Amino acid sequence: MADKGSDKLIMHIDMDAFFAAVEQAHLPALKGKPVIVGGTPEGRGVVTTCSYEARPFGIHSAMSAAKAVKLCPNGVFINLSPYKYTHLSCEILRLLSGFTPLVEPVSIDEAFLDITDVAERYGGAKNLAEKIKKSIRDKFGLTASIGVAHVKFIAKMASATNKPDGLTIIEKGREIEYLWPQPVRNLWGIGPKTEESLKKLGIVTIEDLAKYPKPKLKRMFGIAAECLIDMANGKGEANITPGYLATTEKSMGHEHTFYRDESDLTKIRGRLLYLSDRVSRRLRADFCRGRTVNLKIKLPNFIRHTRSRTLNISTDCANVIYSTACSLFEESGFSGSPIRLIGVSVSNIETVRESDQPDLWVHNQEAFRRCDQINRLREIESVMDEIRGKYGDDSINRAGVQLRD
Amino acid sequence: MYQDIEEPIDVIVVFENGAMKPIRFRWNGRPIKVQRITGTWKADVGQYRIRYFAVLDDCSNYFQLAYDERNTSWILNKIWVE
Repeated sequence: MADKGSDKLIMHIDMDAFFAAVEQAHLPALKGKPVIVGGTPEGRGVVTTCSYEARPFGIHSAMSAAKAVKLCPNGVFINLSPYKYTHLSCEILRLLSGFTPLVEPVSIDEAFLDITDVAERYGGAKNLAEKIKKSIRDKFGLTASIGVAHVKFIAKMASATNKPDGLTIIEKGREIEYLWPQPVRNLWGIGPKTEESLKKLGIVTIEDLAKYPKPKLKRMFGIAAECLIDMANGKGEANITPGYLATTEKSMGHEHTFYRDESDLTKIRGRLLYLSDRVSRRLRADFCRGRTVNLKIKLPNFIRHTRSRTLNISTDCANVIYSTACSLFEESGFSGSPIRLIGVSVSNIETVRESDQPDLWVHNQEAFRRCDQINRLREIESVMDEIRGKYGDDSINRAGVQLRD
Repeated sequence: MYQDIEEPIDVIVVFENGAMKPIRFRWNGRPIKVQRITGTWKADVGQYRIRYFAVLDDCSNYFQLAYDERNTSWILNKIWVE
């Protein structure tokens, strides 16, 4: 964890009920109505999100549509429109990038901004936040809640403090005052299970957590205890990885958050295959190959684990990336454990011109056979690329790919 | 609820500040004036792009139009019915 005693100023922007709000902005007749996005009025599927008007009925994301219909019979069910939301998300990120280039997308409806060097230009963090909120409202007809603090997790908590259309600024030195009275559940990364475990130790508030003996907590939570205590004392990460850096050729990766924490190996492997395939396509599209395969695993308690392996030769082959990612996963010790998020990336990237030289050291028969096999796979992948380029991304997929959770 | 229509339509557009904006279209022989564009988005399908427009007529009826760059054609995707 970097920048524990940060002098930075971090802003977290969270779009309010994003998908439902987009639907209401596009179709004003839905304003003021309980809009439920995902699922059907016949009770099939699950709720992805709902408008604020639906929340008093007890509707929330991940609830079965069947239950949502019972709770809110007059709810307006809308099918998900991923292209619509993705496009708007990109447009909002573009707008935010006009205020500072240091924008780190967190998800489709959230982003961190490092406003350390730009806040004064707008008359301070409050004025800047208000200007951003107004720009989003004027351009997209949407509201956003904003939190500002010196570390990311407090900024994120602050953005959730006064939703919707909220603005909460936690000034430096007032973090403890803000954090300690709150229940531990409000800390970023603490879910119901961790909350329950902490409760068994008598830890209910963040203050309880901050004052709990570290060795005892370590016995229960391992290395995560350090992170929990740091957070309870207002210390956390403040480094922003701008989106434009994440997409440069230093590394290329994709990740997936499972709809529910997943422990089924077939589903996890199927998702790894899909992610490896996407990474390999990006590599080929940019005429690149990478030598290091990285696996990212996020557990239900939000603790992130990474594993890496550097290959003998660089690759853009999905099968090679996939088999390496699978082997890293098996060696990680998390096989069979519930996984929240899984990601595959390739780093140590070079352009094909550099890496396409025949490897003079591949002189034994087995290595030649392997290279030949990879070249055949590469031919298949280039044909798949052509088909996808012409007919769309999902026009062809590998049989083992797991697209649904 | 949204009702899928998926019918080809004729559309008059203007280009304003580099953006294409539908201003009128004809559906079922009836001319409809676009009063307001409430949203735009796009979807890349293979080498082609489809541009979507959420529009309201002067009675606030909702229509979702799509311009398919592949064959330079317009489709009325959806309408909203109470």
